[in-house]
Amino acid sequence: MAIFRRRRAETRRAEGRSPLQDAFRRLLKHRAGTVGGVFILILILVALFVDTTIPAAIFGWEAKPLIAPKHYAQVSFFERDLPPGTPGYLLGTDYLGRDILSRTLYGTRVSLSVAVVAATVSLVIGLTYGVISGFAPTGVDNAMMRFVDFLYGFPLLIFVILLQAYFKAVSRKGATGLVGAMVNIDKALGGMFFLFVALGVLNWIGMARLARGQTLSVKQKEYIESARALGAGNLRIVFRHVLPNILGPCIVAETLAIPGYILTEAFLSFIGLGVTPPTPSWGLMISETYQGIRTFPWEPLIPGAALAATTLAFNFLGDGLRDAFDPRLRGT
Amino acid sequence: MIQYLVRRLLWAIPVLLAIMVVTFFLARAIPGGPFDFAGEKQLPESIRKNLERKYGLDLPMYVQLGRWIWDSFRFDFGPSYASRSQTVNDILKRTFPISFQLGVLALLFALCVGVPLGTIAAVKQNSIVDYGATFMAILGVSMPTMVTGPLLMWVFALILGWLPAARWGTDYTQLYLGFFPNILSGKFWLHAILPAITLGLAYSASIARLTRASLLQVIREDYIKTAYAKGLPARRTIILHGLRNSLIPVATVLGPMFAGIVTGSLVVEQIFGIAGMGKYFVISITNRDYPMIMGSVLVYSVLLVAANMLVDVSYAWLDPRIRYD
Amino acid sequence: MRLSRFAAVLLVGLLAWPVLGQVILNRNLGTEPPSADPAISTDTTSIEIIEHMFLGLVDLDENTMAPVPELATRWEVSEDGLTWTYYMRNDVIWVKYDPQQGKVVPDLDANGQRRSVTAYDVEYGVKRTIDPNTASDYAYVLYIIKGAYEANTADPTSPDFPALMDAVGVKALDAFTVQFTLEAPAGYFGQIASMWVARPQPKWAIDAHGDAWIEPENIVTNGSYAMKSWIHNDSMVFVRNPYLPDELWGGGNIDEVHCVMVVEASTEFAMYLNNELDTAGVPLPEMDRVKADPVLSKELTIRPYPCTYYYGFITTKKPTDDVRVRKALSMAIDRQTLIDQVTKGNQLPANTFAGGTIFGNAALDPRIAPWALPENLGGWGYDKAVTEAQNLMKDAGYPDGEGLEIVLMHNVSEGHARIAQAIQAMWASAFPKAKFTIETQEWRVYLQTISKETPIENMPNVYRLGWCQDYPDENNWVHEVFNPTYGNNDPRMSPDDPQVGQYVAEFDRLTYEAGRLSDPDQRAAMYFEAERLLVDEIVAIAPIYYYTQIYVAKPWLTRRNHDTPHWDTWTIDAELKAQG
Repeated sequence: MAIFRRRRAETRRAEGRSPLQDAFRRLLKHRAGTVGGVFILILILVALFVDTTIPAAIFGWEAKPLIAPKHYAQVSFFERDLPPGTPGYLLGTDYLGRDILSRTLYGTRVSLSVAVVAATVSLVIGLTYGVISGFAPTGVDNAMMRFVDFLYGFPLLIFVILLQAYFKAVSRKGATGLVGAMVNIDKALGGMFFLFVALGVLNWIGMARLARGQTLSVKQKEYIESARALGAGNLRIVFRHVLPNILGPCIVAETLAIPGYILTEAFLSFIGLGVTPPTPSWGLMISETYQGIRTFPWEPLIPGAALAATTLAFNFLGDGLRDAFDPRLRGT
Repeated sequence: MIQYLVRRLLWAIPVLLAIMVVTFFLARAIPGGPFDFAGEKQLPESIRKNLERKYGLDLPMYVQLGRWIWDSFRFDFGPSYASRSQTVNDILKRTFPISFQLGVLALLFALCVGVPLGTIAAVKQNSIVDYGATFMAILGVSMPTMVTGPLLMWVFALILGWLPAARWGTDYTQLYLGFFPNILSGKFWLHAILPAITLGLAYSASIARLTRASLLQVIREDYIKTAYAKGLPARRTIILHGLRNSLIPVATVLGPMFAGIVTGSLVVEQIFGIAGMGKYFVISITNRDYPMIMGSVLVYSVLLVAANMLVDVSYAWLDPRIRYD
Repeated sequence: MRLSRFAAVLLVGLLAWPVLGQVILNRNLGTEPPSADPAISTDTTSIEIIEHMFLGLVDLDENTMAPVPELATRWEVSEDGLTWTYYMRNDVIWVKYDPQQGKVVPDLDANGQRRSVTAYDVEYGVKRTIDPNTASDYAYVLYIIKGAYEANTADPTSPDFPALMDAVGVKALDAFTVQFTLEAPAGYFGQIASMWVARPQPKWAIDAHGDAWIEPENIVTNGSYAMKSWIHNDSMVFVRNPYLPDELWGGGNIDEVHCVMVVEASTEFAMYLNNELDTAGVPLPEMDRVKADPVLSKELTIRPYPCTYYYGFITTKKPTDDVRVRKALSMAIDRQTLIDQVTKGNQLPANTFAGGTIFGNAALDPRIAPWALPENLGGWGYDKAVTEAQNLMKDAGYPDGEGLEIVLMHNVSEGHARIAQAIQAMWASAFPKAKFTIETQEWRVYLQTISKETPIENMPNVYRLGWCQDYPDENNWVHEVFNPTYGNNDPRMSPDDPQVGQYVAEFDRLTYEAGRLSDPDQRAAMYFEAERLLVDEIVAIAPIYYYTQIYVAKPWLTRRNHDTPHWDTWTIDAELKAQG
């Protein structure tokens, strides 16, 4: 009994310095990573409060611009294509006389939602799949990995295009059941839901491979064996010992994948499968205006700069996180 | 080694088959058929029936699928619905070499820029050089090609007038063995510079970051420390011993990256007016050109399998400890 | 800088050497032509190259759109308007490009004789288009020919199929006389005879090579230019046909036409600025700069083009089932501002469906929908129109648009998105309390959605489409597109409509009967009334603008204008071009 009690105390103390908390402390020391993280926090605040959608949804008001000077769809035909610095339009106007600053600020919503939702979807699916595969008997593990191989060889972007086209078609036809419910969510999100899902589906495979590899290597460690010797079940081992130890590398990989999602959204907008206008996204704003880059360079370059800054921030944060999670890399 | 490759090849067959079947049904699941409309005009029922009969779309699904699989085993991907005088084979034969050339040049550019940049950043870790190199690398990956392409064209073709604005410097009638360009032709290189850089820029960034990360890890390995201890000069050590091993993770991503570059060059090909196959991945879907969808998907999958095998082989060269048995 | 000198020398060299011998036109087709086969082509790019390779029985005058002689020197129409006889010239021969000799040569038959273009080739061409085995998209344009519908819809494996093909009303009376027999008298058959689907086709080449007969090594042609090469998706080269009779040559001096296929409008324009193209379109965002630029503005041409951009209303879906709502929405579109600020191509505001070059049109006539026209064109002007629109909307039970929900759908495209967002803003400012939603769909899905088979609950209220002529007659417009019985009728007009049913019935009758008459004056009057019913009474569509063709051409190139370009009428001043 006494021995047991001491063990628990030790565990508690160990939890006080969990890998995640350690990593966080180390992250704060990483200058570029911190800057990136702060920038992303600001972006999140902008996305939340660019207008009063959130209180409006709760209290039933009409949404009004809050941080953004104007509504993103406020057209002014006779003030179109104004350069940055024009009074009233800090960053100029686009081809319909809409305020580029406001549209860029509203655009954070799409890009950030894409980043967060796609990353979560791919992290959750990939992690679950990878851990199960890593823990399953060899036969099941093999089968699961062969399925991943199959998906890996599958040109998923084509799949995404098909999926997007299919759901856009279905959403008009008015499906019922599960598909119908998804269509309704999609409408509420301005046609962005399937984009998120598609991007998450596109990227969970890499995550699954990583999670499986990590699980396999953690499984060999002595502390797992001792936990098993003490009679811990698989579930307990997974949640208490495996997940906390493999989460770090997975989060790093996911953070570094986020710029890719944001750029894929831009690509989908380029081929006409992105968000529905007039909802602004940076990718859409670029693809609407890049043809006029010689005459109105600010129209594609401003959302382009926002896109670059955001992906830069995610990359720095990812680098910082990696250094933080892998102490071996520190201070060389 | 050979045995391993054979096993990989055999394993590729069911994967490709599954991909073919899934694509077949997915393509037909999208609403709208290939022959519903001509331009904006809805075609009369009678005309549509004639077209569907001509292309065998009136047959039962399983017959169509069976025929398609059988034909594609004989490398006959059928006629293109959208471009009726050509078969899918014709189109692939003409456009794939162009995309391949563009892809190889872009990848070469990416490697030539990415590896040195990553090495410098790793050697001078946490210095201003490192931050600068990292920043440049990330900027490269952050700018969408639809911005960098027109921008480069504007500066180098229109303002400076150094380079032609668009198009590829060769076409399929001038290729050796139907595949290789005349690399002595100045025209070829002049036309290739802008599109290859535009496409390669994003990939050079990923390669630089990967090189930096894995080199940092390798530098701390014991054998490097031994090399230092033996008194070898630092630069020589890093290049001879460190870089070679740190390229393994880089080689790992090169396979899928290459498949992605060759087939995913849609934006660059469209902006520079290059007759590659990138656009077929999208327009075959918008045209509901089923044989072309299937053909292009198959090309991508085969390319990916082949590229990954090549990567495995290159492991053996990079790290003699790896054995295949 | 060394690179720059090298590039300059190379480019000058490339551009200069051909100038010494031949006059070359560098042109962008914009896309790969899906086909060069007259029987199956449907798009403007294919038709442009077919126009130069294959002569028609008649051509259309570039201004009046009336048939003018081409292969046929004269033609006769019988009293009842059912029999059309064309008398062809006998000095046109089939030619092909010979890569060994490097020039265009006559195509010889088995006896080594030159092949003339004969009435038999016309009969073969028309029948090949109608044959269901050819599976031509546009075969239905020829359904006005007797027996064509029956043959085209028959099962080609059935035993009576050959008899049906023989019964088709086209016959070569002798080598240079061809006669058409029609189902009904059709005043517009002269225009049909000019279309690519009715051109002579070379049976021997098609029999020998099948669908691949239009590849450069196989093709046999008779028009002003012959195909030298076709590098798919990349470029085409055409060489002047020296065997073309002088009267059929348009008077230009261009020996070779080098076409590229660059899709991206801004890239095309960059190539033009870089002197890599002699003529090009203008990307929308560059219009302001081109118009303001002292040099480019002189090179710019804007001319009417026979297409119309319009929004259609679904007349059976709430709330656009109310004619007052439809009319108010149509009135609240500020067409002139849209043209000046968004489309920027000096298009004309549209108050009817068919534009000013179509036979029977009533374009810009203020007796129809004057609210669509600005004051300088005799219309109301936008201020009056929008006030009236607000009143109508109030009458319909939606004061300030309160309670009104409209879904506007268009297919995914940069240009359509700009217009839709602009019109959404106009509506929102005219009816501030209404809710206007834009939805987009990918092209083929979109077309399927707005077709008649889609259940009404899945339809939008407003859809976008455009229409371009196949032949310049109202029959191709109001009848084929909107006739409630025979046309596409996407707005789902019905004679049972409680508000406008009687107008729909009248519209149905007018458009059907006018297509079966010969008298031009009578037909024009009927089409005028049909247009008025469509736009002003039923308000099934809101016409928005009549297209214009916009291009820039280098000072050394003189382009004669024609809806489909005729390169044989263009001239290049080689000296001026060499100076760059």
